Amino acid sequence: MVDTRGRVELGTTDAAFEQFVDAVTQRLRRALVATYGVEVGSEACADAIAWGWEQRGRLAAMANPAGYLFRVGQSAARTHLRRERTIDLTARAEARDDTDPRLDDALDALPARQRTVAVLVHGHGFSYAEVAELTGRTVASVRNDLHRAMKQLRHRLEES
Amino acid sequence: MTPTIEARLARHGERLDAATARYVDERPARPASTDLDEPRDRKSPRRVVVLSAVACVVIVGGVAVALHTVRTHPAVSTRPSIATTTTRVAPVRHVATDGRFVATVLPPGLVPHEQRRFLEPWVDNLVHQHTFVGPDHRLALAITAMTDLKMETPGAHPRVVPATAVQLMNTVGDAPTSTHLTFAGRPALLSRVDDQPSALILSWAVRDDALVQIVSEGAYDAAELERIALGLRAPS
Repeated sequence: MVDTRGRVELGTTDAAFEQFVDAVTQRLRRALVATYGVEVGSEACADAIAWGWEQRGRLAAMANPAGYLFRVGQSAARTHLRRERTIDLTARAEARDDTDPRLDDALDALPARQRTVAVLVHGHGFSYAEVAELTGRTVASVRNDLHRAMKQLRHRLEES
Repeated sequence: MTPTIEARLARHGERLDAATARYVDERPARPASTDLDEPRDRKSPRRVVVLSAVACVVIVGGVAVALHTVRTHPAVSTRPSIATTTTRVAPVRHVATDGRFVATVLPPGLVPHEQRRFLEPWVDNLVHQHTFVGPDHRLALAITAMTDLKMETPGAHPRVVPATAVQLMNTVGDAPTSTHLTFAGRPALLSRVDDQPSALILSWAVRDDALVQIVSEGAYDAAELERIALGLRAPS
């Protein structure tokens, strides 16, 4: 299901879709959580997977189904954010429980794209190509964002 | 020893995974989403607002242009047009001027802003204006003071004839209905047209070598027009 470039392929059968979901869900959820936080990112991931199941025929014909689901998840996350102006920060507080509130604050200060790339690459061990595929961007763009994000994080964390 | 930022990010990733797993396990059941949308990257709220505003401006502008066209186009307008009206009582039949005055005969029944609609295309450098409306509101005579004379409207030139024509006009003045008067300090002749009893002619020798003729059609009292003409004063 995963080709030599790390791209997740999708067959036309239901079993193939389930295999695709197994392969892509974790990285999709991680990417959406890195962008929108634990609660909204998780809900958006669930919405994207549900949409993918309903539209699995269309999805199978796409060149980059995982990237398309990420964009579906982005739309779902925006819908959640519009509906729920006040975000439940419980999950986020739990994540902050053990350590490093300064890192959380520094990540919050980053633009969403840079934050996503930094967390995926250094927090979850994604390759540049995997991030590029999932977010529908070029490897060069991912590399640039990561460079800017790390520069900003160093500036914020090392000066204080 | 302070861990590197990369190490702190790796730890942050682990915490996010743990928090996500807890959230997924413990989250309350929620109704299935009914509006799972396709990607809407091109429909961000800000873009929708901007596009809506642009659409409103285009629609309002289009309606305004359409209304303006309907109200002003000669083919669809029901208003009389200076250039096209050929009715018996024309909006402007003749204009008299000596460089300081323009006398315009207007159609009857116009309110002031409508009078201005007729006058403004004719008169540049307009500095003052007197408008006289007949008692029956069937005819008006507007005298407009000017600092300069520009009469370029096609088909609406002032009728300026050589001074020798004064004699010709005076032959009309021999009729019982004619009246000699002084118009802005210059001799003038107010008369009727023989075959058109309701028409008036004001002939005015604005200069020694020129005569201006104003023809007004309509049941206008000669004595009233004379009184109007005598009351005119040049602007100081």
